[in-house]
Amino acid sequence: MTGIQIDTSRVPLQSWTILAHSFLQTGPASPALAAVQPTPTSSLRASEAATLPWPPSLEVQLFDNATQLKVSFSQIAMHLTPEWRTAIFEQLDFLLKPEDWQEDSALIEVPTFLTFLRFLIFVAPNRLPSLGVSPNGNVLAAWLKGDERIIVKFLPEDRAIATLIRQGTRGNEAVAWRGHVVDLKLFIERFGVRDCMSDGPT
Amino acid sequence: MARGKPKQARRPDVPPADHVARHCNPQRAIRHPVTRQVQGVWPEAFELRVNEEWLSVHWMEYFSTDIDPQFRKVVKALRKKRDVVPNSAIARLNAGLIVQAGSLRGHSLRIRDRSSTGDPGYSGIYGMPRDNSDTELLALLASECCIQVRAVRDIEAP
Repeated sequence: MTGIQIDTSRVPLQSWTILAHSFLQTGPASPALAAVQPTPTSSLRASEAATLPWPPSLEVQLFDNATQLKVSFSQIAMHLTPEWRTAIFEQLDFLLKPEDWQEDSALIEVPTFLTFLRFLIFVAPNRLPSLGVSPNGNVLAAWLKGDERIIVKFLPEDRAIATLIRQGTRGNEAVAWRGHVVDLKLFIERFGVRDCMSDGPT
Repeated sequence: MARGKPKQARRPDVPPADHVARHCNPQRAIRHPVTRQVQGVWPEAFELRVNEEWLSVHWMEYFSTDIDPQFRKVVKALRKKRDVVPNSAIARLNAGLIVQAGSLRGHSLRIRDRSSTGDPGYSGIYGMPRDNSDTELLALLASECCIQVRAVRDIEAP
């Protein structure tokens, strides 16, 4: 296939400027007849997203993580009171503060948060836990009351690792446990630290 | 043949009666769920990171004999190396209890002085399991060996 060939040898040498210009009027004849703009095929949000920097900034990642956790909470934890919801959300926001972020901080893994929520619903403690985050992003929860402590690291798929501490006759006694969170409730009761999760004198 | 630089004389371990400070980021300090007052540290604050051979601490008696200046000078020393945010915490642990907790769990723990002019008071807890598999040891460090925990915000309060 050959393109159109123009023999320029016969064209007189002049400093011509060639301007591309359409002589056909494409717009409406009258300004009153404004052209209808076609509806964009993509949503505004998608087009905006295309202009966002990648990877997202730390602030965006932390905000997204907190949002994911709160949405998960709202889907599973309708059994918890508004006070619990507020206290847990405030702790999540504290743990994911951009200004407190350090090199060994971690985003919270949603599956471990779901395990934590299922444990809360199953055990139904009436004392709020303190929350933390492990270096791997696992949710940590602690109930402290006097010399008694329940410290749990929640894992995905309803698994957990716990340490229980109580006052023995000659000093503190500690045991470590790992397994399914359903069995953790029984283990806490057997070890005699269930009171740690209940209101009352500390 | 040129002789190499002479080896540095082995420094004694941190004495059992003394204390070491461990910096805990805001996610590793146990806080009251409502008031946010620091109540302790999570066992995970004592996990070794990948490729870390010892647990970084600061020998508190290296700086002063009084506890308040010890905390302040530890924060100052840490700030030379890294960011220390006000919501992070400093845990004060007894050296003798650390060694005792190690032997209880079958580990020979040592707290070695690694201080230098650029990093005064810096020390390391050696002999910790590299894979952080001993949950009980980490729990003992957090609950039994930890004498006191202070938020950096409180340490620096006028």
